[in-house]
Amino acid sequence: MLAANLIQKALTSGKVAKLLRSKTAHAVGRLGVALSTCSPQNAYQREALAFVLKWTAASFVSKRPVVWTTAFLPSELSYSLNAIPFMPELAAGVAAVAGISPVALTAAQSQGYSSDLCSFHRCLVGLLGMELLPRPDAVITTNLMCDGGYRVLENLAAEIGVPHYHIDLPLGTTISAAEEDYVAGQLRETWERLKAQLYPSTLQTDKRFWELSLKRAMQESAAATSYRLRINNLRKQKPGPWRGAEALSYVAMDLLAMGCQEGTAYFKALESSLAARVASATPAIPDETYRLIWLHLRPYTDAQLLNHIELNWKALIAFNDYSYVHWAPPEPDKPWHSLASRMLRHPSWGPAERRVALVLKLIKEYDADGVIQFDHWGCRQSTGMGSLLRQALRKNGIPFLELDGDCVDPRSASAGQHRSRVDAFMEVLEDAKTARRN
Amino acid sequence: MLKLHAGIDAGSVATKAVIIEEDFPGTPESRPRILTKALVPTGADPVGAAEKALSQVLSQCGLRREQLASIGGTGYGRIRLSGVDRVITEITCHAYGVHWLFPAARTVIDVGGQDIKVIRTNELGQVEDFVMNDKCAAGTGRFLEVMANALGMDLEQLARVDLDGKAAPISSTCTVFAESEVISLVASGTPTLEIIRGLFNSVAERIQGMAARLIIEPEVAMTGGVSAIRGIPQAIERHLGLQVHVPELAQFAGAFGAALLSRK
Repeated sequence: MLAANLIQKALTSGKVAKLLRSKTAHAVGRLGVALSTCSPQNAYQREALAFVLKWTAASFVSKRPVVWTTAFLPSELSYSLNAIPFMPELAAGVAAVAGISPVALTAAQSQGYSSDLCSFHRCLVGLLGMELLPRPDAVITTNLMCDGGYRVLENLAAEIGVPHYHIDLPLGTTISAAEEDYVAGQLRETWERLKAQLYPSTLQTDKRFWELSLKRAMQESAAATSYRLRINNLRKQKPGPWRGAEALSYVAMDLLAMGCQEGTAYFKALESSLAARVASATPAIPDETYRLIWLHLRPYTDAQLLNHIELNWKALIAFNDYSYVHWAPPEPDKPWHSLASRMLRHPSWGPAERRVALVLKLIKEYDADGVIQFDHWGCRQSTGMGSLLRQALRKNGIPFLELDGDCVDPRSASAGQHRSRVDAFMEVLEDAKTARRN
Repeated sequence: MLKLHAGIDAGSVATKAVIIEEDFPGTPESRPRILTKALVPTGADPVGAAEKALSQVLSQCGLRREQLASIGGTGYGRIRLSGVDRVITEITCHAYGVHWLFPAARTVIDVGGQDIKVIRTNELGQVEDFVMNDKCAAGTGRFLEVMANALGMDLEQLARVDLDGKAAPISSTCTVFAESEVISLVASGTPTLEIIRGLFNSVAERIQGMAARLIIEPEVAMTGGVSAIRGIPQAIERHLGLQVHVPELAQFAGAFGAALLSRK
């Protein structure tokens, strides 16, 4: 408690804002990670930390351009231009874990943002005011899954005075070649315009350099995709090798680490770690009794809830939908169409049936006993289709819990209420298991 | 051999305790029944209230705690109860309790002091699906208490009002806004009975909205303290278009379920 108070005080006093901009602090942090040791089964944790420290340092103190993006914009776009993709929505999640989201949310409200706006976006506005975000050189948004985020970042781009680019995704029931061309064209054009903005003195002769850079980013993306497919296969093992509580915290890496060497190194390490755990029969939780699929994000303000599910109830969150790889490894020679296809085919985009079909597939592949969807306040794309999902799961005899809450704002949810719902849901699973046994 | 079990439902407003007796335990002939019951206000001390409720039922039967085969605990204060053999959520307990009070029930609507639960059950009284109110206390016992206060009445007076007759429109289900609507209606001279019926409809609308998230199946049973306010089950019936049964001892369904489940 004392430590948490000290961290909060440091974050809100401006000391952390100064530290984030200190070359020495970043050097010490990276040295610490380089000197740290960890078992091969946890090597991915060090890779993830090294990744975060490297890019945080680069965002705040280096001269490399910083591109703010919405969470579902492919990070390859930025890495291929030697820029750092920074997703302010992820920073809001980090702020929630650090316990400062209430301060940031209040600050956003005092700037005129309605409390009806998603708390991720209000929080990031507050963090910007507290100087806890790096200044962007450009902002790229997409309407993939979230309209609120795109509007907020568009607004902030205008306030900060940097160019804003937008990738518009058509919401079709089927995906035509014309739609793929439309999105691929926007990606190519945005990349060209961003390149011209970030490197105005680039000569025509440098064209080859950037094309190679793009190809390298796509090769990294292809390698990362292959590792991720293997990781997801390893998570199908029983007992499962990775705790959902941790996997849900690493979703940020799934979004941010595609298209760069350091990201690929993380996925490679994670694959090796999970393979080692499977080979040595090291379960993620002792006495795994139930397996769950978790939909959407986790509440970042309440670490105990997932521990309660996994450790007290022995219910492993075997898989979470946002880690699902719905695309084939991209073709480095067709970067724009590969990325366009990935965006358009996202299971949470387009008709609700697409997501329902994915959930049913995950239940089968991960041999899940039940499904929990965390309905984050403000995320309409998942909460809006809860009833359809409930009907489909009921038809298949799968218990389903919709847990209403807030990923970022601890004041909007009650831990006790969540616990009651989770306990009741687990009692349903317990009854179902007993009935099957008898 | 006759066995005795106790159940404690540590609710937000009232703590209920029952002792049940069971002939032929563990056999199909088993017919558990409530031997005695007690209800005490929870106040600020759920643990103390639970102890008091349990002491009352024990003394009503002339029993000592050691003579009980098991004790089950439920309700929002369940985690803090000591000396219980099994802790179970109120959702499971209400479903199971109702199964024994009214076996035909497939949907249970429980409205307590601060919670509304709509539970779908199977023929064994097991929960298949459920929804609960979130954050907002609209439609709960606390909501009705605030409204009764705004009308200068108490809940017992509210409980005697029938739904038949003209009802004032109450557009908001939010406790704060609904209270200000009630005050405005009083100020405009709207008859109290019409306002009360409007409140009953407002509660029923909220429950109907929650129930729509599940697939409601007959028979429908209502439990919890609010089931004693007869206008509420009547209003729910009209909104759902289904008969709503209020079993005898509906307020004790959770404690009964806890006692029954403590046997396992």
